[in-house]
Amino acid sequence: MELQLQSLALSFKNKPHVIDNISLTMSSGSIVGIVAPNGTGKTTLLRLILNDLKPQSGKVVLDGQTYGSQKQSLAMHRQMCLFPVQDDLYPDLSGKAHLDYYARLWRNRKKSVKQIITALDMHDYVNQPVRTYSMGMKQRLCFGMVMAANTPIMLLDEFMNGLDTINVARMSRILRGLRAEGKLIITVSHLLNNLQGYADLIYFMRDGKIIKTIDQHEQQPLYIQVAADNANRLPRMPWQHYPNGLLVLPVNELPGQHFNQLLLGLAAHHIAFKLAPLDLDTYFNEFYEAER
Amino acid sequence: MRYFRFQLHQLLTNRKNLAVIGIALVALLCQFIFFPPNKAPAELPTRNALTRDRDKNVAFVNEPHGTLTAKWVPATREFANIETRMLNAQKQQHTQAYVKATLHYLAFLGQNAANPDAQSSPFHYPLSYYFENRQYPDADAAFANATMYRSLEPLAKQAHPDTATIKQQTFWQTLFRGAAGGWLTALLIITILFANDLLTSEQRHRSIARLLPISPWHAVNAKTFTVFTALSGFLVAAVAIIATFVIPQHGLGSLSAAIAYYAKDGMSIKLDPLALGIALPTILGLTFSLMWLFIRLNLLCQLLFHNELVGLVVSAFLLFGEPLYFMHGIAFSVPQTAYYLPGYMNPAAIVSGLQNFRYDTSRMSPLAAVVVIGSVILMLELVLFIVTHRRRAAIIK
Repeated sequence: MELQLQSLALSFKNKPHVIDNISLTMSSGSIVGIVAPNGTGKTTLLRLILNDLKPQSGKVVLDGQTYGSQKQSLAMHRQMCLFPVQDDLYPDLSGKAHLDYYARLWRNRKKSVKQIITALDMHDYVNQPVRTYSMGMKQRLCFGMVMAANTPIMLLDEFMNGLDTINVARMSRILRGLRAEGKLIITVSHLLNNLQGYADLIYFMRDGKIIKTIDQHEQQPLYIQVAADNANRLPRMPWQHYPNGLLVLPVNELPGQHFNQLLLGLAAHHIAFKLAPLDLDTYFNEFYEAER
Repeated sequence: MRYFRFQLHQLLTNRKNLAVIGIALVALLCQFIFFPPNKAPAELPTRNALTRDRDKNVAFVNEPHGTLTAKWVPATREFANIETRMLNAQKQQHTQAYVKATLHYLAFLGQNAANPDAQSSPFHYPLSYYFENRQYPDADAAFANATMYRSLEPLAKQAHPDTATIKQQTFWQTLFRGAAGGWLTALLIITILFANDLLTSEQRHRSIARLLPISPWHAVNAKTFTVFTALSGFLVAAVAIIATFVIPQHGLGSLSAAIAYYAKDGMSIKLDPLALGIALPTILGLTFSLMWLFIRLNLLCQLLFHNELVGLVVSAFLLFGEPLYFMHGIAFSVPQTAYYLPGYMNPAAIVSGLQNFRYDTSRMSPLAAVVVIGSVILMLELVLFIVTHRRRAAIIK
């Protein structure tokens, strides 16, 4: 299954170029992360994918089908499910009723609701009305609803909000399982380090465009990363200053012997350093913190 | 079926809807306790009222008279005799004789009460008609008198007509009288209140409701049937309450008992008997049509305007808007008003011919109701179909 976003563009009256000529191709069996600050178009992009908003130009193509007639739109909606907003849950209904509703509407016969309740550890409260749930319980329920729909494409908008570390780990594990089943999962998350742990592709958005793509399956360039506090103790080299207080030096720009000398020097002077690809937090700070 | 069951559950757990049903059932209970809808009709006076009136008439006959009042003595004597026969039949529990005497009583009143030549006539229709703020109490009372006569005529041929049937207090007759008395209007109001926020309430669940894999047409139809299902349950409960109050005391009655259907044929008036076995199903069918109409109208208004107010206003206009263009007595100056939809909002008034009486016509028949209501429903269905089949149609904004 292949989902293509072809030259999508959308402007609002008070906000031009919210989405500005975005073209992406996503395939089944992958987790795609979209990263950007609040209010810059991530949810808008998900809504465009679902045809909840009409683009001013461009189109969404799923295995050659577009949102043409109502019949085609319905057929595409049967392949996709959006992570519901917590406040939209029915307060007097139980969590199980919500799961059953989604399972039946999307005609999911393969994955039982019981399995989902077990996987998300919801036994204790799933039969209670939703109005008694905490934020974390509602988040798990919303995620369970998407699992219950069991669609080939899952759109998860900030689905880790309010979860403790145990549940973050649980959901991440489930996501990897869903990917192994062949799902295409498009996720928006602000837990960047966690996202880096399971996403295959990560897109950074700014001004309606994709400004950086990270393919986690490709070898990422290594950087020597040092806290900026140590700046006056470091040898003169083309260190890059990042807004999150890091000094960074790309390893591939260093000749081999200089690299060894640098590492030995840092160790001899007890300067803590990290030798790794840049994490998503650092990229986020680089792209968005500088604007402020 | 999945979507229908979920929506039915939502409808039946909606606090507003539960309040409406609760109030309606309590009102029905209170009505039976404090204002029974099946008390004997005003056209059939009680024994006490009849005795008082007979004694008053006998005293009138026996007292000395001048030239002005002497002309009423023969008629009054005749009337007093009729009242005596009614009282004797009641005392002897000879129901056939009572019915025959009552027919004479009603015929006498029909000829002599509200006589425009009789400025000092001692005869009058039941006084309740003159205290109810009616525009034309004489005409209304004359209509009730004539229809009562027509409905009693078949009973006069029975050897032992049932008292409850004579007084129109049986279960089937109570259903008809209640339908004519405002129950159907209440049911339509409940229908409007149920349907008024069927779609707009989904705005609170937008991310769920807007992106479900079902077509707007399917959603709208499923929601229509949820209201029908819920109100059918309510009807069953209401009928059960009515049966509980009426049947033990007055019995089920017979579906062959007649009401009168009024129509005007040129200058002459026709009052044909109509069996309850035909009248009640006709009323029910027309009521279901009106319920369907109001549900679909409210759904359409919500699809087009995304709020409850427009549907509420339009529904109120249809249900209560007849006085805006109709006044009893001058309707025939604009005969097309006989085909305006607000005139068909009370199926019992159509089936009994009361609307024909008010509009001084024979056009407002049950068949005309089917055509008028059916035409509006067809138009609504067409517009709903078009609106829900647009490319980007959705049940909520």
